[in-house]
Formats: sequence, C-alpha cells, structure tokens
Amino acid sequence: MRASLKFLLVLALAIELAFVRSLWLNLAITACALIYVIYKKISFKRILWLIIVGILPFVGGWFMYYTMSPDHSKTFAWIMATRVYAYIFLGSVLAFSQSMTALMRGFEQDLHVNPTFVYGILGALNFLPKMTRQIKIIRASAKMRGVRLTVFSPQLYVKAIYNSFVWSNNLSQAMYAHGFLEGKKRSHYHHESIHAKEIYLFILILVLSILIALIK
Amino acid sequence: MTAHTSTKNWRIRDVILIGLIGVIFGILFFAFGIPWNTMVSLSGPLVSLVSDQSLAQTIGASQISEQVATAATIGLWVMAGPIAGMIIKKPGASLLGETLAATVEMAVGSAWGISDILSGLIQGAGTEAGFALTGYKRPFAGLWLSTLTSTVITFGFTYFQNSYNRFPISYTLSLFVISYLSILIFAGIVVYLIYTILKKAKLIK
Repeated sequence: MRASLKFLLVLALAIELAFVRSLWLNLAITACALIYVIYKKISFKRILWLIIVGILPFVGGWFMYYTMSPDHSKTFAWIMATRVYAYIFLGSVLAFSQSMTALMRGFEQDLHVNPTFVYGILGALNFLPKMTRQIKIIRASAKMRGVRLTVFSPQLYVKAIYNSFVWSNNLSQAMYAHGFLEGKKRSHYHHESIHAKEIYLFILILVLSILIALIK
Repeated sequence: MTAHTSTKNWRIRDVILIGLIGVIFGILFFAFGIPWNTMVSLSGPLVSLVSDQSLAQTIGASQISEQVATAATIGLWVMAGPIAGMIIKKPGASLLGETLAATVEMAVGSAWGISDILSGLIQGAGTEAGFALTGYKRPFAGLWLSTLTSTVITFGFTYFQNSYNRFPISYTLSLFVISYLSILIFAGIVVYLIYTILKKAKLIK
C-alpha cells in the first residue's frame, strides 16, 4: 500500500483503538502489524526494543485498571494492557516500513498538501541525527562549566532553539539557491495516481477492524 | 535571522524552524519517557517499602501515584506547541510543532507508539485554540489562554482514552487540577522564560 494511504489507515485504526474497548481488536492489530513489520524486514533488534519498551506500561496498566476500576474487572485490565502493544506495533508500521521521503512525497502527490510544508518538514526531519548530537553537545559543554542542564532549565531549550534558527536559515537559503519557490506549481519526475485496488484494500481493512471490534 | 511575523503566508524558513523545534522536543520527549516510565513503576513499591503496607495497598498506592505522576508531568509533553506558537505567530504553528514532536518521539521508539501522534494532534489543537482566540495578535494573552484550552482539551481526550469514568469523580477532579498546574508551569511559565531569553537575544521580534 502506498505511504499516504497507509498513514491515513494507521491513524484511523489508532482512533478506533483509543475509543473502542475490544480485546480482539487489540490482539488482531498487534498480530497483523507485527507480521507486516517482519514481512517488511525490519531488524530483529528493533522489534525486540519495541517489546522491551512496552513491558513497563503493559504491566503497570494491567494493575492500574484492575485495582482502580470499582468492579475489579480482569477483562477490562487485559483490554487496556494489550492496547499498549497494539499502539506500539501500529506505530512501528508507520515509522519503519517506509522512508520519510516516500511518506512526504505521498502527502504532496496524493493528499495535495502544500509543498512548502512538505519540503520544510522533510528538511527538518533530516536534521534528527544532527539535533540529537547537538543536544548532547549542549549538555556536555554546560557540564564542563559546572552547570547541569535538566528539563527544568530554559537554557537547554534556548540553546537548541538557537541552533534551529541558524540551521533553518541556512537550509532555506540552500533551498532557494536550488530554485525552490513558495506557492509555485512543481513538476514531478515520478508520479503515480492512486489505484482503485488500493482504495478497496483500505476500505476492506477498515471494515474488518470494525467487525473484529464487534466480537464479544 | 529574525523570524517573519508580518505576513500570514508561510515561508519555507518558518516551516523548517517549526520542524526543527518539533525535532528538539521529540528527542527530549523520548529522553523524558524512559526515566518517566521507570519512576512511575518504581514509585509504588518504594512508597510501600517506606510505609510498610500490605501488598494490596501497595498496588493501589502505586497506581494512584502513576495517575498523579501522569497529570503532574503533562505540561512537559505539551511544551512544543506553545513554543512554536510564540516564535512563529501564524495559524497552525502550534499544531504543526506539537504533532511533529510527537511523530519524532514515536519514530525514535517510545512506549506509546501510534498514540503519540494522536496525543500530539490533540495537544497541538488544544494549544492552537488558545492562540486562535486572540487572533494570533497578542502572544502573552494567547499563551495564557493556551494553558487553559490545552488543559481542557487534553484532559478531555485522556478522560475517554484512559476510561477515567471508571474512577471516582473527586479523584478525576483532582487529576484535572494537577494537570492544569503542570501545564501552567511547563507550557506557561517555562515557555515564557524561554521566550524572553530569545527576545533579549533579538532572535524574535
């Protein structure tokens, strides 16, 4: 399925998960998402990390809903706990099964999002590794001067935001230098319109998820 | 190097700047997330160890502390929106900044998965509403209003998502008050401090 439709589908399923209480829906989404992610050859280490990261909220959630709900319903506790993994693996479908470039191209070509936003966001997201490094540098250099920067210290944010000012300025100038123009029509080297088959698959999965949610 | 504030049209530089602010907070959200989950799960057993309670009481206490911790830290997760809205005073800035921060957090691999993006959209919309009420003209009034609107909207979403209707009403109400204080401190006061420093440095008008 193309990236833009996948994004919409994943978001629709996430909204369904947030409001529908169904153990079968949670299990089905977790299983399908996990199979899809394995089929897309996501590294085993990454999947293992997602499983580890979910353990605490899974256990914590189970006990919380079991003890806090007035009727001490175990089914309800299981529903809320399994939802943690449904959320995680649904997220991994979106995050790891296609490149950010493909997703953004889908936004522009299929959903007709303003290109200024598409290319701006794509540019910013490519700074992710550099920004991670920069935040480490900011904290390390503060430590050298005997200052510990925590989440409560505005300096940490101010310094990182200062970097964003510099980088956004440089990147936008570079884009102008390459001929980028706001609000102008763009031509595409590769363009593929949505097939009817993809829309049928989209609707089929959505209907299936609703049917599964109805199982008691 | 100052941000454009005069025109309603988005320039590519503004979008990249908001995107980068989203990236900063996405990384920091992820960094808060792991110690947060550990702290929340350990707080209960620690409380019982100190007060020597029975097992049933321990589990109860740990869950109450978990919910209180959730409410007390909500302000941290809402911060990206108001900062984006204060720097770029244009419609959609808060929504975009907060949603991107949430997306980055999910992509790095947080424990909340796809619900990150949902919460990001809701929190961003909550903040956006505050700035929209002033017509994006009075940033400080907008910031203050945004703490109110984002509390109401995010708490409303959490209410349904986490089935707070199963909990006693007095408990839910106190969670609401704690959430507001948290949002006021992080997404209000800390954001205000950041804004004044940036203004002094002549980075924003």
